[in-house]
Amino acid sequence: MKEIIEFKSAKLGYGKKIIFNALSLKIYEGDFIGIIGPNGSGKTTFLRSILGLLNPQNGKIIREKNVRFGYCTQRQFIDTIFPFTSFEIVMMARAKMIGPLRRGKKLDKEKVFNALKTTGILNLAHECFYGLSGGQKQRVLLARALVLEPEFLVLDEPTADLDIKTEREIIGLIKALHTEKKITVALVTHELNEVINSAQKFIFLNKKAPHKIFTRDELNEQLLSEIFESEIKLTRTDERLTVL
Amino acid sequence: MQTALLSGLIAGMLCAYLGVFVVLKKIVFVGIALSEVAGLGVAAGLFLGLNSYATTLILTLFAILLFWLPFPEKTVSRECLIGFVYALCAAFAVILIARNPEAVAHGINLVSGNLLYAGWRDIGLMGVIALIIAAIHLIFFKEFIFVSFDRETALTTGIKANFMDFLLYLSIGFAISISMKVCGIIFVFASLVIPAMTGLLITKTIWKIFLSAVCIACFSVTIGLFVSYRSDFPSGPTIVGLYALIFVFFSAIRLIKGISN
Repeated sequence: MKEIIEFKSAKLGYGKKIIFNALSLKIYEGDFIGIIGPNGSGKTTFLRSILGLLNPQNGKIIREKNVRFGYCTQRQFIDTIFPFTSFEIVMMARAKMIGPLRRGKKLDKEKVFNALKTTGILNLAHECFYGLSGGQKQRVLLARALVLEPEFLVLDEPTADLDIKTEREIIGLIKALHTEKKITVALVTHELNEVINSAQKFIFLNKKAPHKIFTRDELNEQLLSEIFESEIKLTRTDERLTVL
Repeated sequence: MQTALLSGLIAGMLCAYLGVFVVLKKIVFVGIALSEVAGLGVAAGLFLGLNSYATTLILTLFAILLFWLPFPEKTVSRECLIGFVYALCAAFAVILIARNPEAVAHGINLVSGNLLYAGWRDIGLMGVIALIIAAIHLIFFKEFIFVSFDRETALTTGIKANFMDFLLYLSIGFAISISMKVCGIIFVFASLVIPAMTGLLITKTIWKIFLSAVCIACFSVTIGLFVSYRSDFPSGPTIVGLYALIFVFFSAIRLIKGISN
């Protein structure tokens, strides 16, 4: 499999505040990676470094050339004062492709509608973003990431503050995009139960200990209990893992 | 009266348009601080016998760099820095004007401005800067919107967000600079905030917010100048009073609609 990104002893942080001292890992084409860890463990820092928004202070991050990223930010960070419609928000992502002075052409509009259709909210294209439910807003942001036709989808807590049904729908949608469109996925989430049934690889981040990388097959109760510093029970029913 | 109306319209419409970005980016305090910096620029220019537009543009450029550059909020927050710049510039501008009889003789009133003192030279300069700003915004409008709405995601799509931010700050700063001498701090700051706020109240489409903000500025300047001329009121505060009246009027309508629904 082709490597998309390689972290080579990357020292990551903001000025004197160091989050990772020497992060080394590889992300391959077609990976579905779940990034898990407590608050402040560096999950968003890790995502920012994948996207090239944060350069290492030491070491290297080697990216495959011309990889198209799609970034789905936390919807809580999105301002809802202005009445942007779902269509307008998704179209924003094509600004660079359209270029200065130009307006979106028919092709750009088609791509926006396709992205909205993929995330199941085509009927909400001309609705104001601020009037949408949490799940619908998340789908708009997912559509905005998809409108760039990404090879690598980076998602920062897309299921935060959603009810269980919506949470499962969003994770199901991401899983479908991964399998059907062969998109590489890096997903930050606190929802352990959902992510362990979707991702193939897991990066566990913790301030107190070095990061740990495991595959789904390697997950067991002892490992999870060690990582989360509390007793964790793992049950398996119909190929679905459940954390207790 | 012709020159007063023209200069008021250029400054009002320009500030009202840029004000939508000020409100969208939540940098209202940057707006008032830049207004004071520009006020100090006018005062310093007159005091030192230099071209006041040049001193205003230079000082504003410094302030833009200060506000645009990342600020390490370890002990003092960014808001405090903005407040500090505001207070410092306001104090020094008052001192420089008080020590300069020429400024008084020229009818310079930094707070309320005096549109009736605007000359064709002022209008020419305002027109040129306004055209340059309009051209920049015509080219980069959608980039400005994206960066103002969600800077982080804009960066990931390859947009040079820092540069766009700088251009936006620059256009706001220059609009304030060229408007300050004849329009005064109250008019400039109010034009940056109130029409955009009113636009948000009355429309639900982004381009209509820009359009309504500009129309409100246009209407208020025209009627405000007429009222101030007839009633011998200071022009800047009269226009601002009209801005506020329009805002209160639409707020009341919204409130009544909300209650009746």
